[in-house]
Amino acid sequence: MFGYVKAFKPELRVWELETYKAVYCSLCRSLGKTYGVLSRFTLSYDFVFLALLAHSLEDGRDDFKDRRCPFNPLKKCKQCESNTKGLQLSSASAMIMLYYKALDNINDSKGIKKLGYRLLLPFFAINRKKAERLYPEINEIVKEYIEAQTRFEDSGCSNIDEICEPTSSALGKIFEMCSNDTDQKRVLNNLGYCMGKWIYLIDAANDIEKDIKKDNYNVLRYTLPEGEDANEYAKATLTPILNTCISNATLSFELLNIKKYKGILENILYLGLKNSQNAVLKKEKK
Amino acid sequence: MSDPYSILGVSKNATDEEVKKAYRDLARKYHPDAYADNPLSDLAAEKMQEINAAYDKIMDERKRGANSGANSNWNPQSDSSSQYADVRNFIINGRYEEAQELLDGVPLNRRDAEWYFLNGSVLYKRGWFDNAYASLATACRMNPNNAEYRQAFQRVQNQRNGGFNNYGGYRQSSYGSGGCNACDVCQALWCANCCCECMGGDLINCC
Repeated sequence: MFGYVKAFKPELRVWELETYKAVYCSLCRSLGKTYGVLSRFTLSYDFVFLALLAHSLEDGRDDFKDRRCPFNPLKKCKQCESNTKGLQLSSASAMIMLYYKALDNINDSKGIKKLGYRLLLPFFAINRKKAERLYPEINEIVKEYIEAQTRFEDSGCSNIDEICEPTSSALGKIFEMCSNDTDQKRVLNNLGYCMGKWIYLIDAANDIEKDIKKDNYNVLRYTLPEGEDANEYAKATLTPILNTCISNATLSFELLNIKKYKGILENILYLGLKNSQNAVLKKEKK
Repeated sequence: MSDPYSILGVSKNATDEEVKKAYRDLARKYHPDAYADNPLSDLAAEKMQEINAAYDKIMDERKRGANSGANSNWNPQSDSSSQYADVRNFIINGRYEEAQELLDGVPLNRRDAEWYFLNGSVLYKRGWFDNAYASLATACRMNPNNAEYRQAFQRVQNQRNGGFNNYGGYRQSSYGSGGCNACDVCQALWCANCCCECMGGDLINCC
């Protein structure tokens, strides 16, 4: 589910790349401050996108200061001095989503992996509680989303749009929290909806072979013709919908009142998503 | 209104040509056609009005009697002769759930091309792209001569083929696939060899 929403670095300006990394480091710092040092290891660039989105709608400059990486003392990194609303929103979302994802993984996996997730669960649970106190709405949104997702999967849902609905609407509601303006909330909701759909489907395409082997749920399994290569089928079926998701996401994005970091966000939406999509769909036949 | 120049994204000293180009680029980006099937089309229309007003103001200030900007406001078809007038009105007013309910109430054997078109439009606005595509395709199949259905279907096709809007002018890569090829390597080596020889050494003996 994570790791698909990234910038396409070769096309970032140098200062944009530095800012992108600085927000990553700032998020790492925010996580550490609120949720303890171990939570920093769960960081991914997807949440950097959410933090950037929240910051981009606010006036004023972010104050990045030079510091040293706590894990690599030889590396200097820039971190945001203040624990901004965007950073808090993003880190709380990360902690809540990770907890419910871990729960989900326990149900889906077997053996050593299941044991591993069980051991990590208490750690995720403590952080989820902390995050819930700060953002109870996010906890409700994600809890409802996981329950709906499980319900659809258990009932063997074979309709692509239907199975994406929980992820899409959850992400839409979380993105809405980046602004207080009613119109901007509508735009953010649509952006989150389209990106949620894209993320769910790209994950389905990435996991199709693994899901067949382990007999896990995957919406593509219901329509995959006998004898056809799963990756080829995933590519043919999902490419048009994924393209539509990106297209609509960018249309929504253009209606946002972005005050800063527009270049980085444009890079992620116009180039980064397509790049991840190509990487996943062009997998070699194993 | 706030500063018309900042709405168009040009400086006060921009030439008329620059202002016109900026206006054209923005008009393409926020044109109603680009947002035709999008649930945020009303916000895009507001943005379009803002841009038109800014352009008009600048041109009026600069020379009296200038043409006002192109103003093709898309009016979603409100066809009162259609049996689905209610559905169309719901869609125009953004009440997609009510529109869907009305559509779902039509029995299977009475669903004509217009039903499939409206069903596809509502599904699209709700984000159910896959089902919407299938519905719009059916509408075009049942009534290949209808321009409204065909245009909507073509817009959707365009998005599915990855032709998403670059009207923002998001910069394309100005070089090809990047990286260097054999010519670049050879060139670099030859230059290095020349420099080396100038200094009295010899990087590549045979050159």
